[in-house]
Amino acid sequence: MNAFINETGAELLKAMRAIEFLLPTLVMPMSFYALFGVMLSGAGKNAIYLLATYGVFAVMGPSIFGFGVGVANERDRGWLQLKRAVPAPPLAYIGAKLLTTLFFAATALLPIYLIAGFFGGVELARGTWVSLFLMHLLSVIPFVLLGLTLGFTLSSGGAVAFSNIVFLGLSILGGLWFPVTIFPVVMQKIAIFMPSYHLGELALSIVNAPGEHTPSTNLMAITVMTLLLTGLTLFAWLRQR
Amino acid sequence: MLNRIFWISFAVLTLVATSVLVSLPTPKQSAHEIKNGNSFLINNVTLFDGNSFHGKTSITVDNGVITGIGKSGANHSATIIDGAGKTVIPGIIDAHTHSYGSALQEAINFGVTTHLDMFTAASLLTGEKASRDSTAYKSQTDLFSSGMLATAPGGHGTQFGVPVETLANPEHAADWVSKRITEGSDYIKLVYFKENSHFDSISRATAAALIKEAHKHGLLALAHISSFAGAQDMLDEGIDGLVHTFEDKAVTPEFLEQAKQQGLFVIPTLSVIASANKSSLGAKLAEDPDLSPYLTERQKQALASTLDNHQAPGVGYKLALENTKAMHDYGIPILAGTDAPNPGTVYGASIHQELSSLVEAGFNPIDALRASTSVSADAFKLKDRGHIAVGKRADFVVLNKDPRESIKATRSIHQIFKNGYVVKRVKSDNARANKLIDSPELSQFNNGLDGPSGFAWSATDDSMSNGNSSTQIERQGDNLKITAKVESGFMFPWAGAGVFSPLAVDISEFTKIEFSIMGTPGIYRAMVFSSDQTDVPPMQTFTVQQTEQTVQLALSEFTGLSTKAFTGLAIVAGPEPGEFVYKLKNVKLVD
Repeated sequence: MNAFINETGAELLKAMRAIEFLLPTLVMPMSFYALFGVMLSGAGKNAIYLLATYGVFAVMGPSIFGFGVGVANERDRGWLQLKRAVPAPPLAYIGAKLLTTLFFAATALLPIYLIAGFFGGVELARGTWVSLFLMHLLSVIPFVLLGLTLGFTLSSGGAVAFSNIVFLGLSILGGLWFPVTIFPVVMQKIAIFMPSYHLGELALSIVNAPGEHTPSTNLMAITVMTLLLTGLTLFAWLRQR
Repeated sequence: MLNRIFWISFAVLTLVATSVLVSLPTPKQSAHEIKNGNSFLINNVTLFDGNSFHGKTSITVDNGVITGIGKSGANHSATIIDGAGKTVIPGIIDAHTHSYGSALQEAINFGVTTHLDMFTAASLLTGEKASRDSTAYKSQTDLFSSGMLATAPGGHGTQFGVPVETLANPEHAADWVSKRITEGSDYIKLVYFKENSHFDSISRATAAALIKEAHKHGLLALAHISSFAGAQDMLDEGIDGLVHTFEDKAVTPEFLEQAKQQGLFVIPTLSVIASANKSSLGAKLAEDPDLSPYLTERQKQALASTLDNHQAPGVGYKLALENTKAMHDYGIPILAGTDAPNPGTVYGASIHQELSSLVEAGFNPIDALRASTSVSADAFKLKDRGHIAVGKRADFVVLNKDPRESIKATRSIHQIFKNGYVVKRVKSDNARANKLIDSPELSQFNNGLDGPSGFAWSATDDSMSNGNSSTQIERQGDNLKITAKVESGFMFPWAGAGVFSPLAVDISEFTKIEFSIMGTPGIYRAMVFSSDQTDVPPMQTFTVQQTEQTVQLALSEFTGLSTKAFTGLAIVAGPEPGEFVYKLKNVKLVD
């Protein structure tokens, strides 16, 4: 437990010392939401819809970059090898990273909520605000697994490039920036295979704006994807050893 | 140290997250929402389910969805509403609107829960699509829309100053329709004029390509036509519906047969045709006692205006009625739609005119009700509305009167339910937003001629209506001395003094007006004014003697006075001619 707390403290300290790496992933979702959800003319109507999807977008950054690039860096420098030798449980390392990700996910989410509530005219029942927040926080899970796989597989340079592609791909193809219904049919078909798409739909169902599928279908899809990603992560982890 | 960073970071985050989540705005209606909920049972109500009437029925609603309809109310844990003497009809569907501005808030105020829009800004569609599928609290009409309309460069639809994506030839149809689909259009509307000197039109081939393309994507294709010939062309090309009837020529038996075979439906929009025909139906609707309290001045003016006839020549309301009736009799589905907000129509209220016009055309009231509920829902394949049946959305209107007796009963709205929640109907500005009067003392003559809340005293007589009477007023201590010469010359002569304000105030907490008066003996009158009056003000008479006496007049005896919108009081002599000198003081409102 103590190891875990100290690990997390160290992760937080590291992140705050190199805040320039983190800042874009925190500021970008917020400014995108302010622009598309509130400021552009006619945006007011979409403030709720985009709150649900941009929330998922906001937690993706810390998850994919924190794990993808972070783990790849540490592996490159031999830090992971060293870690295996120290008397600390390996789960503390992953757990600390996960908690740090949740920390920054929440930090990215809260300004968006504030913009939605106080500038976008979004009004939700208290329970809905809380459920949406929890839903958005839980959305980090599949992205963290994806980030871990990238981190275990790629060199630090490759991880930066690849994380960006994955990040943007999941955002756009998953319909987090614009509803997929405005895309060509081919892209709409691709969306079904994106975890971001199903998480977006689940968040939409919480704010009573049902998407193309029923929440149970989305939940099933995301569960299957999470399991697959877990398998993939384990495989990548074993291989890199 | 790492230990401390951990705990401080998470303590701060938890604190911030909690305070943000606690301070985020919640819906203002929540108190209202919780009080009423969207689960309840209505008992003993007369039900029009979209097709037919059923006596003494109970309707169970759970979370905004109808879950039971039966002879007697089953046990239900939620609120039980006694519907005795009331009639429930499905939420009304207006099958032809252009939903701009506050359209959706205005329409629901008159029982219209669904708009089938025939051209509005595409940017509205995504947001409205999400909300119309939900059963969350909503105090707005649901929107279905064609989005952009299909018209030629310079064609009808381009004259309103909003950007229109026109199309010039059949080759553009596929691209045009697929753009509408990505924008979220629910159906395709095109404008086709066979012969019309005022507007260019897309060609018949382009219209045909659009219809084909819409059908390829499973969308309905609807046409705005201006003549029988145009309607015939569109019918030949397989159009699904006409968004206006034609009124240049009587419908032919061949057309009727072909239309029936092809399953054509027609939205005649008699309200707007009446307006283009310079009828006063809109103005009359504005005076309807059931609707008028809910109409703002702006809406009343809009109803009183008429459509500029230069742009729509050859309109004949009578022929439109006859064609509508002929099509209805032949079994062609007729849908009630208003074309609001064209001049002479407003969102919501005008659907009640459309229903009356259908009855004027010869529909029986039940068929008129069908036209505004189930027929529209079925024609547009709307699965969750237009009927009151198990599984449908709990959108309905509770009426005080039975529409089988008179179609005007649809105006006698008792309550409107949207998604099972009671809609808070908004009365017009005149009737609601007035401030309470500052002080009950209407006169303080020892200080001046001012009254409370911006009221002021002045002479008043029939000279303002070109009569011959004249008046002088003069302050004497705490009295106002009035010298009134009542002369014949006006039909109803008067002269005296009054206290008036341009801004109405609420005096509903008071029950009487009291004042002291002495002067030339005779019968005098007190007249009161409120902002919603249009003709002769309510009045009461009293006698005046040489000696001072205190007069009390009950406000309730002034029949027709809106005490929430009080604008003035006059104490005058007349109608008998003569010179009257009297003194007035201590004019006040009392409980």
